[in-house]
Amino acid sequence: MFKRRVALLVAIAFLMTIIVPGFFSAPTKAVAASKNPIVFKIYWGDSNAEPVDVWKTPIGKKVEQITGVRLQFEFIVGSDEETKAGIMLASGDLPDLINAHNVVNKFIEAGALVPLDNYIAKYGKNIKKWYDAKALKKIKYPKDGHIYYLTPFREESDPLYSFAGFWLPIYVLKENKWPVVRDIDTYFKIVKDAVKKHPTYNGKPTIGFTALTDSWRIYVLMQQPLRLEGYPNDGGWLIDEKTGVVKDSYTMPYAKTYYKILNQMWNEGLLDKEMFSQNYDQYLAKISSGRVIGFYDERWQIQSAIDSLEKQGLYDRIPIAMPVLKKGVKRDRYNVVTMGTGAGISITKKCKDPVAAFKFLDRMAGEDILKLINWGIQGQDYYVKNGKMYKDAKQIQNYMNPDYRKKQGIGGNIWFAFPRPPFDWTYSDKSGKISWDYSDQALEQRYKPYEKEVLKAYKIKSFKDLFSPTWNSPYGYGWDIKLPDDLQAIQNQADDLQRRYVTKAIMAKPGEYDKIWNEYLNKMKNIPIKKVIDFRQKEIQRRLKEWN
Amino acid sequence: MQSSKKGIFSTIYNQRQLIVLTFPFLIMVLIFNYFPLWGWLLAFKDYKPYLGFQNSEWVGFKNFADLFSDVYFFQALRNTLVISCLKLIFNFLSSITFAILLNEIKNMLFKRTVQTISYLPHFVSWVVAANIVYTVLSPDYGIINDLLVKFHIIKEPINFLGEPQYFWFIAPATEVWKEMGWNAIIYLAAMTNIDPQLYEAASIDGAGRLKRIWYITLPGILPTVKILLIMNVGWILNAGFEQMYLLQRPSTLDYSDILETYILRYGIGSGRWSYATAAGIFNSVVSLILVTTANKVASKIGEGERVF
Repeated sequence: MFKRRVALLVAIAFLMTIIVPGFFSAPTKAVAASKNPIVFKIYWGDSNAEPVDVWKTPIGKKVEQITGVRLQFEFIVGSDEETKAGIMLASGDLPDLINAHNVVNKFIEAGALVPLDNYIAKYGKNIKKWYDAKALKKIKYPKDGHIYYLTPFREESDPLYSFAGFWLPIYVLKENKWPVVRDIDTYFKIVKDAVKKHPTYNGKPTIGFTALTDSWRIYVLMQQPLRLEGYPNDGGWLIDEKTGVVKDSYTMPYAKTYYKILNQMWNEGLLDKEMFSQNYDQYLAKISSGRVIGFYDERWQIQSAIDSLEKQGLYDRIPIAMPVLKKGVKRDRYNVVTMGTGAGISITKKCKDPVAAFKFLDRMAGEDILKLINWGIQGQDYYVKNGKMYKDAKQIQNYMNPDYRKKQGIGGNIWFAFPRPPFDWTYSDKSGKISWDYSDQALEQRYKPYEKEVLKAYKIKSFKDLFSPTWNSPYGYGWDIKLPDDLQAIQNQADDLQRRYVTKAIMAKPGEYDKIWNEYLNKMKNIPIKKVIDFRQKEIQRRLKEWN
Repeated sequence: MQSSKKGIFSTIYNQRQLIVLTFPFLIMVLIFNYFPLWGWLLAFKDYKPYLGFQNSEWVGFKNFADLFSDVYFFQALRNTLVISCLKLIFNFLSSITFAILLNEIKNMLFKRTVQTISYLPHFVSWVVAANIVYTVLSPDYGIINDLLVKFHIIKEPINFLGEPQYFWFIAPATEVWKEMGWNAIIYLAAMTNIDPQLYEAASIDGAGRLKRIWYITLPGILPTVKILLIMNVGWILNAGFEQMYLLQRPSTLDYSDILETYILRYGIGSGRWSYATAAGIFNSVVSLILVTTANKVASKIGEGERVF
């Protein structure tokens, strides 16, 4: 009896300690919550973006203070944007804001997004400053004429580096006495010789040529023949810039020639054996190890591998992009500048306060915030002298360190997606360019010592000087044309077939290549890809007519 | 065992508490397993989320016609069946053998250690496991290739995950590595139910270890094996989505694309909800047929061990 009473008392005491503090702390929490900013949930559907919760960084916290908005991020897991969008729409479980990236049309077609036209007219104080009538016209959804997002793809291109190219590491360039590699035969010859000369690196075999083939990223392998023929990255389409005639790249004759070269290299053991089984991280790790000689890619995809090589001090292993073309082609279009129509941040119909959300987006385009997110905190990341912003040596060093940038919350993929002017614009107080990257100081300082040496060896000012001048596309980017669902399904089928067969053809045994390629062409005939081509052609021609 | 009408009512009356207790579960099954069947109607519509269910157009059997005219659907079906069957066989053989061997070990410490190690991979998610598999099988620095080359079994490292034909065996093999220890638990439990006197009697009759395993242990766990087999046959069209999704590469799609990844890519991934639903229905119908057949066969052969 006594024992039972003690047990009861203990139990009650235990319960009290759990429950009572809960009762008392509840009201204080509620008070604190009422002071809190508006919280918006945002889905970040851009699988290229590094999932960094910028709102937790010092700069993010300042942005919260100024805008009174806190963003709760949900990042995409994996890289399948389309599937995630489909599941989100099917469940109807939408956050307040969405960076829908490449699949924004799914959300628009599903009626999940709020049209912004009226908001821009009413509240778009900053936005109207950066997006003029012509720019707004370009981002109207062609089907209903509404604007659903403000594109962050502005007319700008990095003045320092080429956007894409066939890459070679510095030590190989040096050994070959700094060649400007312009044709593909020379390129692969250099690769072959380099493998012969350096069969291993750090005890592991050197890899002649590799490619990124992880899910949709395999597009870099599929667009190589196009690039070699001097076409820009238009999502795998050959577009005539004058007439707007579109051809598909699936059956282009040069693709067969090019992949046959790769097939021969595969059989000679010069291609990466893991080319078709590695994922994106493994691909980056391989480049970071310094064992890879050649590959084709776009700079933003391999930036973190370059950062890693720099951090390890393997400067002579860092790759430099080369303007490689098919023999006989004169002009490369690796660097394109145009205003794209790609998606930025949209407000969904489930947003609890669309007006506040829009005011927030507009506020993000305010000059004080642009300074904060692109330059950093004044006094800490930059100084102002005589009304001009500048960074001292230490601050530049910090800024060039990707880890510092991540910790501090400067720049990066997240801020990039908000409505913004092109980075090479100047603040209205004339204190400097929107982003430090484009300031005069940066053009001198951003190149690291090893890069300056390479530039000197080539007798050029910028790595872009190796390439043809930046090309201004009259029809925007071909890749950001959004297809309706039924056409998208057709394109997916064609893409899938292409991916299956190109990989099969590259890995084919000697003598089997042509057979596999013919099988591929025959199967492609069954897919009504003509419908997709017609749709794209109509859209390109509309753009050529309306934009210019 | 009363069979008269009055008997039924009195049985119901006697078991009234038990019957009431089953209601919550019946309701749960209704809500979560039967109510969603309503969504199957989508397969007969051209469903567009912005139009809603009401306004989407009826298209009859178009989605099924599309499905059955797609070569890749049948390829996915073939892969699913092959991979599942291989998995079923490999899994059963490996875990039963493992359980029997483990049962014969008399040193408790060793037995426990082995068992714990063997079922640890079960708790690792496929996301992590796929990376382990990738690293181990890598032709570049993977341990398996390294060993095979060092022992001169092969000359050149094999690109296991990149060669399509190997996939049918990699999938079951990795599943065995991950689940063998876990699956063995139920057989070990079944073995503890076997009367020790049987073993004693057998050894007095002069039966050795192998004979005891063959004539006592195996028949002892047979009912468990049968029930599990029937239940697993019902899952035969689920070849393990996560594993396939994470291990497959564009180059191995011809052999690694199973129904679920197919549905994901060509259905939901392409915004074709109706198409995905049609494929899902097909999947369910085949599974249903397989389970009932397996159940029938089991009841014909066995001494009454069946699920229903």
